Amino acid sequence: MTAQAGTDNFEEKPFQGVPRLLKEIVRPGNALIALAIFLVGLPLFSTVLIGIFAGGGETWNHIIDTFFWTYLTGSLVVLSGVALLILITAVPAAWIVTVYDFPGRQAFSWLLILPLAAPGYVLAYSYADLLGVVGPIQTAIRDATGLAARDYWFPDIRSRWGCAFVLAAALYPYVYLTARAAFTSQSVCTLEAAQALGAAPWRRFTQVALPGARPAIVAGLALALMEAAADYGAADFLGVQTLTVGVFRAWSSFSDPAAGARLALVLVALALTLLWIERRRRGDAGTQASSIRWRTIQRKKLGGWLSLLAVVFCSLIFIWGFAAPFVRLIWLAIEARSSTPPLIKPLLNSIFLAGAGAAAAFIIALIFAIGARSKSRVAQVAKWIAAGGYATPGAVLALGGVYALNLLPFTLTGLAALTVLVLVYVSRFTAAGTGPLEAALGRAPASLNAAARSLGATPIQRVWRVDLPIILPGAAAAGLILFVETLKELPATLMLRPFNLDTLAVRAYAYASDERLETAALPSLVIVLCGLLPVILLSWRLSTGRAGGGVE
Amino acid sequence: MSQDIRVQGLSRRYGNETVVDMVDLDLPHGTTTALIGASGAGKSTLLRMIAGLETPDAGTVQLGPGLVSGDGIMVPPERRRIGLIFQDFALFPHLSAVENVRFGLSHLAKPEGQAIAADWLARVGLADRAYAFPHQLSGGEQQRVAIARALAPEPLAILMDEPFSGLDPMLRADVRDAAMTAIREVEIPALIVTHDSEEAMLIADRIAIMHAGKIIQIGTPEELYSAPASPRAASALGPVSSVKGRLNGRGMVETAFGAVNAPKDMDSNTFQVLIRPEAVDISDGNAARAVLISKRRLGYIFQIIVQIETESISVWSQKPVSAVVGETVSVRLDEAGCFVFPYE
Repeated sequence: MTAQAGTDNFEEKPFQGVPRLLKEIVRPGNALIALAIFLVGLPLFSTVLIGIFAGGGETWNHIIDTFFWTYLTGSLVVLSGVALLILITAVPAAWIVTVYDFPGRQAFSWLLILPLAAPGYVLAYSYADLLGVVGPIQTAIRDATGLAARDYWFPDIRSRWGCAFVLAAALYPYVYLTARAAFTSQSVCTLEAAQALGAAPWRRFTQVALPGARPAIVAGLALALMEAAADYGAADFLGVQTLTVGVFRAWSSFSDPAAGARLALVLVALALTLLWIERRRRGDAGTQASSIRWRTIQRKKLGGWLSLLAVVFCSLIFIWGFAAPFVRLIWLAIEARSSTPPLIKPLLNSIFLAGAGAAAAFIIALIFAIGARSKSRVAQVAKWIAAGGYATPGAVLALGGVYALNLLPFTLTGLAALTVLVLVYVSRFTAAGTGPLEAALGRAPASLNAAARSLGATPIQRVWRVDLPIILPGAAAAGLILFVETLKELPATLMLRPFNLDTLAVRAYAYASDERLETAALPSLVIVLCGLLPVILLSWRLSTGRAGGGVE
Repeated sequence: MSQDIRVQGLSRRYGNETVVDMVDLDLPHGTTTALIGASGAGKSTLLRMIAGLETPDAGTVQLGPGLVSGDGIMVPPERRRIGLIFQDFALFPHLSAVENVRFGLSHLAKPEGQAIAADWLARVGLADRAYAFPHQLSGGEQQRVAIARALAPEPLAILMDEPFSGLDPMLRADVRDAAMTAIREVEIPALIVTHDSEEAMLIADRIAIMHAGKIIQIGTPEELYSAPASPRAASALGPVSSVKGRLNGRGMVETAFGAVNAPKDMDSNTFQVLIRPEAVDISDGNAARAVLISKRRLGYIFQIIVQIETESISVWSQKPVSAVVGETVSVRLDEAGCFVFPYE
């Protein structure tokens, strides 16, 4: 039974019907995978090449002299702030929800991941309104005290720290999820051992659970920081100069995408470093978790004020990440219901663009996921290219396309821009689809195919009666994730959309930039509601206890 | 209607490694053959070639009168009508127990298939679990469904790859009995790959020992246990202790623990003598004197280790031994459980 396992010869290896059929297509020199790798890698590589070879010149010198330092410190301060805020909120929350029992624990365990539904720029719009000078909170303060706006100090949301506050609210679930998975899978036995050795609860957390979960926490944090570095919408709106904002401005203000591409090299280096950290740490976390048997955690019941403290802590995080901005958006949308222009057109545009992007990314992700089963070198390359695109900000990926389109005789209107935009979506989001697809394909082990064959099923019957029904739920989840990610994407869509093709994200951005926040509320709200779909799916899977996907 | 399987000269290579090497094997109908051997011996590959899941590099597989592999013929598994049972059960996760069983009956009208499937589930003792899904079934129940599923389409033969290894010991015997009863009733050739020699002796009519791609001995459990053809075959069916032996003047092989008859036509002077643990008597007679190294009760027998000079052997005794560790005891060999081979 082990003889055939370690060999390269997979000519006779059983393959499932769908993968097998595709495999047939793929087989001529793995040409299809190679083509997919080329497509996914194209935006990143062209931006890097343009940055290196064409990025110099007057604009670049201007950027270096005037803005570079501001951009760099802006990015670093925002990223540090995000990291700090996430660590002091997400990690304790994950710990509390995993090992203690208190009123509402069950609800909090999934409520706390809801912020994944809202993109950073939507939270920025909502918080700018909530905490702004004319917002409800400051107005209430003035009403209560009789002070004028200049007479008191209030934290400024339109600042680097304000931006960090907003992005951390949107991104802490990445760390919350990985930390929780790590605490759940690996700490039960070691924790009991520590308890038997007489370690107090605080010591068990700091000296046993935390070090054990550190790789997972670092991996989750790296993911969150990739997203924070990719953000354009929140930073731009809050008036914070970051590298990503700089890259975008090089195109929008200076009309010099090549200079933007050179600036983007710093971002690419940053993103790839984060990616490298994430992959390394995730590997560590994986080896630790797999060696330990899964066991149900005996949650300790918190009593009295400790239980109250836990409820208050979790509630504050939930209000910060989701409830407050979401409720404010609803409020604003209702207030502005008569003055908000109809959204049918941008909604249809969003569905069209996200559908096209998701479909293309789905096909590429499926090719990669099937290719990954052969464990060939091409498949490894594919994995890295997809991860590289995922780590890189959309604005950076779009620059190469903008530059190339400028060289062509026609302008940014029309099919060419649309094709390039879909290509950027593919490059950015393919990695988000390969994971779920690989998991779905993994549900059909080779023995199922052999069993179906021994029972007389023909290849077409195997696809129809075995492979499709088994793979479909996972594939649908992958499609949904890709669709929503594409729908939420802002900077690349802004840069590459054909003229007049406004999506929900573009509308929200445009209204917000005109300081018409109440008008921006409805498109923002629709984006969040779409975003909730995959998040609900995820939380449903978490609550049914299949968080780790079931290690075989 | 029952047909035999005949395998001749079957070989399979992966790269430079020959995994199955010129294997001949007959699987007569109505008999169960067990294939035992260490991991990597080629057992599963041989099974997969018979099933049609792998293409042999050389040799033929005949099912009844017809050739199914070899000589340019390669009948795909879906047209061989050979039932398969796997270690991981391989139930279709999206189908209920009865739908799993009905999978191979799709050529029949639905009510008919349903009736046959329900009947098979009842035969393996799962009548009340027909509408449960695989994840709702225990491992033992899943394997029962897999057995019913494999047998329902009336296969011409059944091949099982470590079918009971995934089950815990308590369930294992029950599932095994249910499976073997069902298989015997249909009188088809059955092949079971296992690494458990006791399981093989328990359920198989014949055992084939495989090593490095070859079948090194085949026979009834009794033949293999009492007359192994090689040291490897001897240790494949149960534990043996190995001691050195030397030809003495009376034509017997002398070991530290006693003398045994020399095999015929063997022109060696030094021998390897393999001793089954139950073939040693601990007594007070005037036999070899050995030092008692340890004794343990293992349920109904005692496991005793005795040593003479540098050689020690393991002994299973049904009688308690009064001597304590460190004392000397007499040991006597029982010829029937000692196997003499030229020293390697």
